[in-house]
Amino acid sequence: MWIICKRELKGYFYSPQAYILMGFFLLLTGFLFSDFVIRASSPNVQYAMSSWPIIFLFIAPMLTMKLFTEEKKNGTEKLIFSSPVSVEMVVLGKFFSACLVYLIALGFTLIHVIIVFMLGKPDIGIVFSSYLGNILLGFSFLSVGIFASSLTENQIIAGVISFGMLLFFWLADLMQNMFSGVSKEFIKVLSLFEPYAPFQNGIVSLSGIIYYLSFTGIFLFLTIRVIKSRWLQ
Amino acid sequence: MIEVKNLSKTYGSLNAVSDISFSLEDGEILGFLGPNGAGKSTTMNMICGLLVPDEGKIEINGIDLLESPKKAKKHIGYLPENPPLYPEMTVMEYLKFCCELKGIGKKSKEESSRVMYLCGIEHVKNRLIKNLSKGYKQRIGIAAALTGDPAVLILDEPTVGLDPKQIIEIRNMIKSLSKNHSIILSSHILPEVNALCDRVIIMNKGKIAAIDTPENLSTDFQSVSKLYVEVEGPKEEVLYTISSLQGILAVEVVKEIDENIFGYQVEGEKNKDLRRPLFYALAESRMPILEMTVKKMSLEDVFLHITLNENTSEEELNHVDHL
Repeated sequence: MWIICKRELKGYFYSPQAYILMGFFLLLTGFLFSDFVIRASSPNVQYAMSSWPIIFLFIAPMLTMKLFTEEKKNGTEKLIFSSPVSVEMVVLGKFFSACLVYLIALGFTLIHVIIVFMLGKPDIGIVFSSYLGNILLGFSFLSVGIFASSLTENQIIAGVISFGMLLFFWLADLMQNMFSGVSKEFIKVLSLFEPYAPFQNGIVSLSGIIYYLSFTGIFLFLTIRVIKSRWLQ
Repeated sequence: MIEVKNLSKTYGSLNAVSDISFSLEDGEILGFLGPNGAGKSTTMNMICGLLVPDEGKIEINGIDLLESPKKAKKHIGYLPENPPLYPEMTVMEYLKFCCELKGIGKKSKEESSRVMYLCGIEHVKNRLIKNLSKGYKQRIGIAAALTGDPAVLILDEPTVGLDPKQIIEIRNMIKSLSKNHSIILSSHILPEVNALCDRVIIMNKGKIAAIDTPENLSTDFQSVSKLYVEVEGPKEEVLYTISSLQGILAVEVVKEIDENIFGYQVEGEKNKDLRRPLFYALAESRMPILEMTVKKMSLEDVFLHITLNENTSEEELNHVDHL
């Protein structure tokens, strides 16, 4: 698994892709930080962090779209799947490489936290839970992205599919008020953003953690199924 | 080395491969011949574990591929039709990655150097793969297949798209590799198969049409023995002399060389040597033979015969089917 992960990471950092996407993420988060924290001279860094998922919603598809499409384009899936490595490990390896890039980007944002600690007294618990929420939500986005990239041979189509799906999960959050009763509950389950709210308020919600981990797990499982049934049949 | 039994694969209603069985012996080069869409690549992909067969059994070195794929795949090195390369990596990085995939973690550097030496690509080891020529890419692909020193190499059209010099180089390389590896090779270049392979499988429409050595295929498929002779003498008289011999089925003039010299094609009964009776008969009539050639069916003729002739008789097929 780490072999695959290592190669993917090299792929990200040998091309400008990771730098551009990380730069984009840091630029926008930096902008939010200067607006919500510096300009408002408030130590509540979590207000700025609450919009990060929306930025990452645009970045995640671009980060994951090439993971499997590129293998298909180069024909290298034949190398990988004729080697003594299981499909599960390949999918996990690729997923973790994207996760690591995301974590590195998040690592850079710790600068914001340091600045705030130097200037004031933020609530460390809220900062921690916000980060945890962002990490879990981000991983869910990436699992949707990797699933989309296993569906097609075309990078752009993979990107569009994952973006469309993420957009749907985002809109589900906004749409739930249009419904009532059972259908409202159903839409609520689909809303990826719904369990994120407690994390912003400093609550490490167990149900949220379980929700995101199982969401990620389901999409990774689907990716494995797609590869086994469509690529290797 | 490899035992394939009753392998079948269908795509929807298309029988890509239906019920084929064969084996690969130690140190043998087995050639796969067949027109496009005959099921060569599908068969190879199934042996490499890239496709799951609908039915049948594949044993590699005594290990069942479908039951323990990880173990079985360690014994296989595969070069697909297009070498599976990462263009943005250097040759060394790529081969190290291949070694790691095969589970050679610590010794991947030594192993990469070994296969680079075998394939003659040491001098490009630090170059990016995308900047190398097709010939080098093919060599890197073979080097990748060689990592981990697998017992079996499966090469899908290894010389396609190369220039004549590169083709010869790659062929020599394959020949030298066969000392330590058993090789399955697919191709639609017939002379190549003829030159390289110990045995040939001719596939057509997902089935095995023939398995044998290239020499046996040529003789077994010949239904008549054919000779070409050039004789000096009056045409009618020569035709009469030849056709009155025993065992002659047909004779015709195929070439006019000089006023009194003609080329004749003589067809006789199968497995009958016509050269001696022909010589004595014509010598007796004082009509000298200027040239005589035995016309053998080339592998190409056999190939065309099998793949074009829908009505190839069962008897004929069974004759060469030494399963």
